[in-house]
Amino acid sequence: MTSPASLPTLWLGVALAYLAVGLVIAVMLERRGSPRTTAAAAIACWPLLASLLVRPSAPSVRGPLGPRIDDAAARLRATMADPAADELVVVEDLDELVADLHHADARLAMVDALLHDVSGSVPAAGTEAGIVALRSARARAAHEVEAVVDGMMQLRLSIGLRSLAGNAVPVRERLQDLRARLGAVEEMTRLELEPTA
Amino acid sequence: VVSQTSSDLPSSTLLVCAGLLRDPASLGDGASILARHGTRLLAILVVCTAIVGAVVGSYRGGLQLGYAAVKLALLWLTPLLVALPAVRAAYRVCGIAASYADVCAAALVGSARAALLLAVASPIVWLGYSVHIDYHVAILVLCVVMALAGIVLAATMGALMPGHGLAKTLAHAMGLAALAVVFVQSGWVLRPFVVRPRADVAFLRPIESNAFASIAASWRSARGRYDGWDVRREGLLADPESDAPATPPSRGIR
Repeated sequence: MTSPASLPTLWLGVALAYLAVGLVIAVMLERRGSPRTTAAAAIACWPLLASLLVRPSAPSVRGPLGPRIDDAAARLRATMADPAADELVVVEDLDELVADLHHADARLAMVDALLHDVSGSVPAAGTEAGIVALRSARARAAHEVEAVVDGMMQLRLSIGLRSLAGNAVPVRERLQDLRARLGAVEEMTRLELEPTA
Repeated sequence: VVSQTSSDLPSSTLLVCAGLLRDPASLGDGASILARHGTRLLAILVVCTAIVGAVVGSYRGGLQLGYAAVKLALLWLTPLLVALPAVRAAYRVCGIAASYADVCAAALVGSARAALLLAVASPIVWLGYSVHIDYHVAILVLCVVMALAGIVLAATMGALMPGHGLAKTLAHAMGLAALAVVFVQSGWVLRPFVVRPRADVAFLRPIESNAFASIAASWRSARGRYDGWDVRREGLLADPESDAPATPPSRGIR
């Protein structure tokens, strides 16, 4: 049974524990690059915002373009971290784009392994057309991923231009366009493979 | 409407409000809503419910303006902070793969939209309270307004959650029931919101019984049995070792 005298202590303890958990989550969010307002809100409302700690993870398989993607992402993050580029691009937008790039890169690695495996053996009758189509689709997908990585580098220039020219340069839209372009790769590949299916 | 450029940042809260009213789905989905708009949605929810609380407190005026503003904001936040795991469990039990971020985002957008509409309608409520309608009518008006806001929340949240068909209907009903239970009991603990014009003002009434026991007593009274109204302290804040009834509230405060 809880005695009346212990009730304030109990409630104080519960409140402090709640705020302590909130503080830990706020620090973790801040370290992951979330805006400070979000981290501050998480102190009081952490049950709502704790799921931000669970972001889409990068695939464990690294593809041929993995180093280029990491390099472009690191350079873009460094540019975004410059005080002159403050709040030009939302960090979460870039995180999602980089995760999409790594997934596309992992698919390239899987296709490369498959083509390597197939080319090492005598192809069965009727599979040549499929192999040609797969190589073509792989080349197209790799080209698009490279184009998006190049677009990330161009985005850095846009951020610099934005810091001089003001609001006329739509930096955030360009980042979203890159993600949309990457998302269109699957659709294009599907359309390309339809006649051979 | 809601897609933003950095040039929109100073007015982006207004854009989020426009998105909430016109097309909540345009705000994004799941974690992206929380990441991009989570703080703004929380701010909209707290500010709008505080405005409505101040309007409700205007029936008594004075300190009750601030008390009701703080308590109504707490009333709308508490179910979101406490009951969303139960909502997610309801969806998972019905075979719908809803992530916790999906549930949080849908509930937050639904609550912010309901709060925004409540704030928009608050001048009408204020008009009624300012001409000093009957005390019981004032309480009924508050209940009806909260129920209407709850319908907005339910509809918006349902539209944003994944799944379809009977399974989704069942899951949504179970999830809303969990939210409603927490909302009702929170409202009971945080009362009074409406205080008679000449009554004393208190931030909270003494902890006594619970909302559902009170409803049961009201039901018995409606059938002509006027027992079961003994006010007893219950719950974590009450004194469980004392059988003595709690001090009844001063007459006039509800």
